[in-house]
Amino acid sequence: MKFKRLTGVVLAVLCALTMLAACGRNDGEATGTSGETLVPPTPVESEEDTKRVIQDDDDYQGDDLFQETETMGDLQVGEPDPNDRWTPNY
Amino acid sequence: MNKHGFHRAFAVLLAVFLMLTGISLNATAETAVAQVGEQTYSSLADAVSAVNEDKGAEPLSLTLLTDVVVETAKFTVSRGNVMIDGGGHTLTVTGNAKNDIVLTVTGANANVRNLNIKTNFGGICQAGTGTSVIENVSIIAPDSMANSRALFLIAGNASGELNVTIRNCKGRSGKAPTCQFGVNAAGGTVANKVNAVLENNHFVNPADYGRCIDVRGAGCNITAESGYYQTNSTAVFRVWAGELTVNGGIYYLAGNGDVLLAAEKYDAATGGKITVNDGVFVSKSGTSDKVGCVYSANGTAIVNGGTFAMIGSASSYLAAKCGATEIPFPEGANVLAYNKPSTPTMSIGAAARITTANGLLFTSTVSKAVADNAAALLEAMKAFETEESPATLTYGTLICPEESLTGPGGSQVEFSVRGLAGAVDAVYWNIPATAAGIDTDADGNMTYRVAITNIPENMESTRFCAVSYIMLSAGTVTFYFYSTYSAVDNSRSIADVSAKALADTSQSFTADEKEILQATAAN
Repeated sequence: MKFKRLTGVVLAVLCALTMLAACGRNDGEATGTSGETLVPPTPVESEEDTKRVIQDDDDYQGDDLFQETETMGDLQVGEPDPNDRWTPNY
Repeated sequence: MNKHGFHRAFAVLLAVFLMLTGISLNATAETAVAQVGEQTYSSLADAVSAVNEDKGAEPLSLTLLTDVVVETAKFTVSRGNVMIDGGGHTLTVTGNAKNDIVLTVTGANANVRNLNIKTNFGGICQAGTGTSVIENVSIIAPDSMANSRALFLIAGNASGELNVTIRNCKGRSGKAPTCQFGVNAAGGTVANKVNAVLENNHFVNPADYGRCIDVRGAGCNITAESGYYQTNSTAVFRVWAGELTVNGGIYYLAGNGDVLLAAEKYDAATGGKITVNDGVFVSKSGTSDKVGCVYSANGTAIVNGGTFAMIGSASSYLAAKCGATEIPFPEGANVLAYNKPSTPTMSIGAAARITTANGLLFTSTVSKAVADNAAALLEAMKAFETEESPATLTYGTLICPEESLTGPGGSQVEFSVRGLAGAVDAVYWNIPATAAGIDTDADGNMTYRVAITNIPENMESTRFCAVSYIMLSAGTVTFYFYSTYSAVDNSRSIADVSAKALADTSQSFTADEKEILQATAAN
């Protein structure tokens, strides 16, 4: 009986440890926990992220509506490369 | 030696000893709490008495040597030419005698500095004449403070004019006082004239009904140069009589009322007068019966400039109502920089890239005056920032194809975040400037840029529009200041810019540069 009880306890501990390990695994997505300070993404991290389409006036919620557009190819918008040269303004 | 002889001899010896050592005049180092001139005292009351008994005309100082705790305190310093220096120490009054004042000065040219007072009732009353400076004085009362005494009461004196400067002082009253800083708060058409200047103070009155500052004395002139002044209701400043001139500072009404209220009559024929030349005025009022950040009521209000913001729910609120003159907020906006430079500038036209692939560049500038104005508003917004949303200031650019400014029915929408939200199928980019992307010149003027690069062939004739913005946010509040958008000045295609660059004979482009421009130039 003692052996069975001991086996049960060991199994329970192993299960608990396995579950804890699974919770702590990073699946590659940003996940927030209650004790974590979530920092909003910098809007100009990626050129693609700066493309925004307003789909519905009532649903507009700021930065949540970044989307790709189909006709703009590799067009990029952002701060210029300091090494670039430019004409005067016309 | 009999008993009486012994006592006599002992007394003589003691007297000689004390005369030689001077201990009879000075408190010991362990017991001294205050010093007047070179003399130390073991009680503040004795030190105050010594000051008042001194009939000399030369300057005299009373310096606190340590923190002092007393149950009750109603110290009155009547001598003129006196400096009361707290030495950075704290005078704590533990009693709760309503309507008492801890320290009153009544002489000419009396000054107070470097003193902290913890009180359950009033603070300092300046009832003297001449020139006075109250500097680096902190007066703090608990929320339970249950009387109507001001922490700083500038009463003046019927025997002459008082010119007082209150500088770098801090006050936080309890939740009961109707005003925290009173100028002639007793009111009336008094003979004494008070001229007070407020510089860089921090006064907060958390009372559910009360002002931060009351001005009641007819003939008084108060000038607020700088500082932070906050109250929860009725008005931050209420000028019943006399005149208030505001040249700067932050004024935050955290509840219902008016930020500056000039002037219900209070034993005065015409009520008070307010002149606003500058400053930041923020109201959280939510009652429709209130009028504006600045309201003249029965008195007079003149607004020459300032930044006004409304963060409450009172939709009919005005920036100011000065008699029949109303200064409204811009349509759809809840912030107004009145007669102040507040907007960034989008440079006319755009530049074309002449290295590698094509590109179109829009340039924004922010003058130092505009940046200073934004910084002042940002400082005011710290009053309602939250841990999750602290007060932040962002410079940025909105860019979109010209057709994105089209609203329902073909109308043109305002070129702003709000306007684009109402556009039909709008596509736009919101590009905040990074610190590394902002160039600041020696005069403090800033420049930042946004580039559109790799423009596909099918969009070489597409006109892109750009507008600069300054965004300030804190808590749930966001303010925008936009550059003035003009389709003629701020909308360009890469084809147009490249063609004009090639036609510009004043420029000497290399063959490679010309080749890049020719690839996109309009024929």
